Amino acid sequence: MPAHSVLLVEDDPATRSRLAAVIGGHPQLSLLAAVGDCAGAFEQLRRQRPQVLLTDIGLPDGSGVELIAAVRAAHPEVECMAISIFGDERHVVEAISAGANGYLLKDDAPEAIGKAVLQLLGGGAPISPEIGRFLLDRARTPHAEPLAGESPFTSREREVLELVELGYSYQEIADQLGLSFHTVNAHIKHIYRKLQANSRGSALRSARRRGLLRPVGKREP
Amino acid sequence: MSLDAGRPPHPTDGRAVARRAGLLLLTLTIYWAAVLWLRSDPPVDEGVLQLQRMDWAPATDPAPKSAGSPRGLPVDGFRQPEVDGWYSADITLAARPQQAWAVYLPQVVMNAAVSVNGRLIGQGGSLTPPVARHWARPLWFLVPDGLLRAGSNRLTVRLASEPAGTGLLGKVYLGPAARLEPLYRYDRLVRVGVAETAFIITLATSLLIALLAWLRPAESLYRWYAAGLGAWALHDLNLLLIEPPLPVWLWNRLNTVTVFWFAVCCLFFTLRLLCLSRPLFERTVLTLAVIATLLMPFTPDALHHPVRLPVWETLALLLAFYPALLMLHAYFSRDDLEITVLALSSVVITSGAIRDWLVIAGLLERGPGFLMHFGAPVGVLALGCVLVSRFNRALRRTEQLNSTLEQRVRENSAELERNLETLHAYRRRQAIADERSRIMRDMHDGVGSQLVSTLAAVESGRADLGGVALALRDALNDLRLIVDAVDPNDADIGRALARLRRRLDAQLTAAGIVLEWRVKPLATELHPQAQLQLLRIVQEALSNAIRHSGCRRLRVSCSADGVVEISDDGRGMAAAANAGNGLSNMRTRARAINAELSIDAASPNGTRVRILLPVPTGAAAESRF
Repeated sequence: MPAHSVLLVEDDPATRSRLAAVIGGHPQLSLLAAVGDCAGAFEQLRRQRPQVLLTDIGLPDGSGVELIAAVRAAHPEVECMAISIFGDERHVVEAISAGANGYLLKDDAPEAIGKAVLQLLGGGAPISPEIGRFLLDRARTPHAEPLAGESPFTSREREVLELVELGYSYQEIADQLGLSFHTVNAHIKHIYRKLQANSRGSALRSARRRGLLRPVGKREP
Repeated sequence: MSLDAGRPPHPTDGRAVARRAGLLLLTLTIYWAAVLWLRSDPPVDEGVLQLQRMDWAPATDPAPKSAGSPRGLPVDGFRQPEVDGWYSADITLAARPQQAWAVYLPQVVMNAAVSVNGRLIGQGGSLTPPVARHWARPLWFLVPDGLLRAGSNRLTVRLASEPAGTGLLGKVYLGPAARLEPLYRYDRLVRVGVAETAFIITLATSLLIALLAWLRPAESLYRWYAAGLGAWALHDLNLLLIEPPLPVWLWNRLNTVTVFWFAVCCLFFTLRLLCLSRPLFERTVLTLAVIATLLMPFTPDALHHPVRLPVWETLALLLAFYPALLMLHAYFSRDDLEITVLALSSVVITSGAIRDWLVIAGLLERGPGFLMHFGAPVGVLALGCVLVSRFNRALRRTEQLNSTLEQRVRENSAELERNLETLHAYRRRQAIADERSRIMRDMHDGVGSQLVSTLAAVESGRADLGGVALALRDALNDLRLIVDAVDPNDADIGRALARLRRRLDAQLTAAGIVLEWRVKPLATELHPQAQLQLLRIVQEALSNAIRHSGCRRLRVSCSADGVVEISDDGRGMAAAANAGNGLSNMRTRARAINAELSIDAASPNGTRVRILLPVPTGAAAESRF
C-alpha cells in the first residue's frame, strides 16, 4: 500500500522538524514537503498535489485558515488539518469552517498525530471535547455572531456533541445512543459541513489568484 | 410701625421718595379728574328748563299746596332737616309744545313722583314704606301729550326717603324729550351701568379668589381678600335693588355692616401681604367688629345720625384708613411692584371713602351718589395685577428650580458614572491581580516545581533522556490543567475530565490499557481552583495506574452528585504504596478543597481512588482561596 503524501506548513522550526520526523517516520505516511509560510505552501501546491495538508494557523505571511479555504476550493479531494495550540478553539473552528476536517495540537504525542491523520484519510471526522464544547456554547448563546453559513444543529447532533464534550469516543457515543460508529461519524461530518457552507466563492477567487486553478477558459494541455 | 417683613427695606433716598410721591399724586389726580369728568353736569341745550328753586310743603300735607316755603335746589337730607315732601314750581310756556316733553330728575334719593298740572305723570316706585330705593339712579318721566299748555303750568315733585328725611333732590329739568334724553342716557350709563358692572366683577373676583384661598389654605391673605370683596359685592347690591330683599331696617344695617367688614378684611389682608404679625391687634379688631355688628340693630336708622355717624361710619373709615397707611409706608420704603400697585389703589379707594364720609357728615355736597362703589373696580384691577405678577414670578421660579434641578441631576449622574467607572476599573485590576497571583501559585505548585526538579536532574548529570521527556510531558500536562482551570466560563468537572482523557489516550493506547469512561456533568459548579486541584488528583491517580499498577483496564467515573472514582485491575495497594510522594500530594490537595479522598482495594483486585466533592462545592471551595 503506497504511503499517503503529506504537505506540512509550520513556521516554528522546532515544531516543524518534530512533526516532519513523526510523519516521515510513520510507515503509512510520507512527507511531500515541509515549508514555513503560505508562499512556500502555494509554491508547492502549484507543482504537486498532496493527499493531506497539515498547516499551522498563524503563519508569518498569512493565515492557515485562508490557505485551507483556497486548497479545499481548488482541490476538494485534499484533506486538510489545522495545527493548533491548546486553548485556541476559536481558530480551530475557523479552520473547520474553511474546510479542515480535523486538527492537531503542537504537543500531541507522536502516536496521536499519526492516528489522527490516518483517521482523517479513512473518512473520519475527528473532533475534540474542546471543539464540541465551543460549538455547543455558541449554539447556547443567543446573540453570538454566526459563523459563515451556520445553521442550527439538529437535536441528534446536539446529543452527539454533548457526549463529545464529556470526552466519549465515537464508539462509546454510538453505544450510548444506539447508533453505529459510522452514523456518529456522519453526524460530525454533517456538523462540519454546516460550518463550511457559503464560503466557497471567495475561497475560489483566492485559489485562482494564488495559481491553484487555471484561469477560466484555459484547458490543461 | 415696624416692618419685620422678609424683604429688606429699600434704601430711601430723597429722589426715590420724590418720585414715588409724584406717582401717588399723579394717580390721585387722574382718578379724581376721571371722577369729576364723569360726574360733571353736561351743558344743557337751549330750550330746556332747569329749575333752581321750588316751593316746599311737608309730606304730611295730603296734596301740594299752591304755595309753600321756597327752597333752592339741591336739597340734601344730610345737610338740612326734613327734605321729604312736596316741591312745586310754576312754569310759563309761550306756546303749547308741539313735540313730546319730559321731566328729568338726575339725582333723587330715594324716590319721587312727578305731576304736571295736577296730573300724576309717573313715579319711581312706592312712596310709602318700604320706599322704592334709588341711590344714584336718574329718573325720567314723559309728559303726556296735551298736558302742557301755553301760559302757566304747574310742576310738582313728591320726594320720599327712608329713613324719612335722609333724601336728596338734585336738579329738576323740563324740556323736549329729544333734547333731554341723551343726558338721561349718559347719566344712567355712568351711574347704573358702572355700578352693575362693578358688582358683577367684584362678585366674580370674590368667588375666584375664594377658590384660590381654598386651594391654598396656607396663604390666609387670599381668604381675607375674598371675604372683603364678597362684603363689598353685597354692599353694592344696595345700589342696584329698587325693592329691598329684606325688611328695610335690617337691609339698611346690613349695608353698613358690609362696609365695616370690608374695612376689616382690607386690614387683615394688608397685614398678611406685608408680612406683619400683630395677633393681639387682630384679635382686638375682630372683637370690636363683632361687637359693632351685634350692636347694629340698636343703632339709629339714619346714616348721619349724631350717634351712628361718629361711631360706626367713622370706625369703618378708620379701619379702612389704617391698611392704606400701612400700604403707603411700605410703598415708600420698599421697592416692590406689587406693593406699588396695591398702595396706589388703596389710596385712591380711601380718598373716595373720605369723600363719602364727608358727604354723610353733611360737610360736602352729595352730588350723584357715593364714590366708594366706584372704588371696587380699582381694587379688583390692582389685585388682578398682583396675582398676574405673582403667577409670573411663581412660574419663573419653577423654571429656575427645574433647570437647577436638571443641572444637579446631570452633575450627579456624571459623578456617579465617574465613581462607578473608578470602581469598575479598581475591580478589574483587583480581579486581574487575584487571577494572576492564583495562576502564579498554581504554576509554582505544579509545572514550576516539575521544571525545577528536572533542571536539577539534568544539571547534575543524573538524568536519562526518557526520564526528562516524562518529566517535561508531566510539566506540559500540568500547564494544560492550569490553562483549563483559567477558563472562567467552564466550571464543569465533566468537561475538564474530558480534556484530560484526550491527552491520556495516546499513553493508554501505548500501554495497551482499555479505558472505561463513565463521566456525567456535575450538578453544581466548581470553583476554578478546586477544579484544578481535582484534575491534579485525578491525573496523579491515572498516572499511578498507568505507570505502576500494570493494569489492563481502567475505569473513570464522575457522577452528577460529585463522586469521582478511578479504579484499575492492577496490582493493588502495593502499587499505590510505590507511588509514595504522589499519594501524600493527593491527600493534601483533597484537604485543600474540602474533598474526602479514599484509596482502597478494588474487587477482585486493583486499586480504587474515590473523591467525594463537598456540597455545595462552589461556595466552600471559594472560601478557601
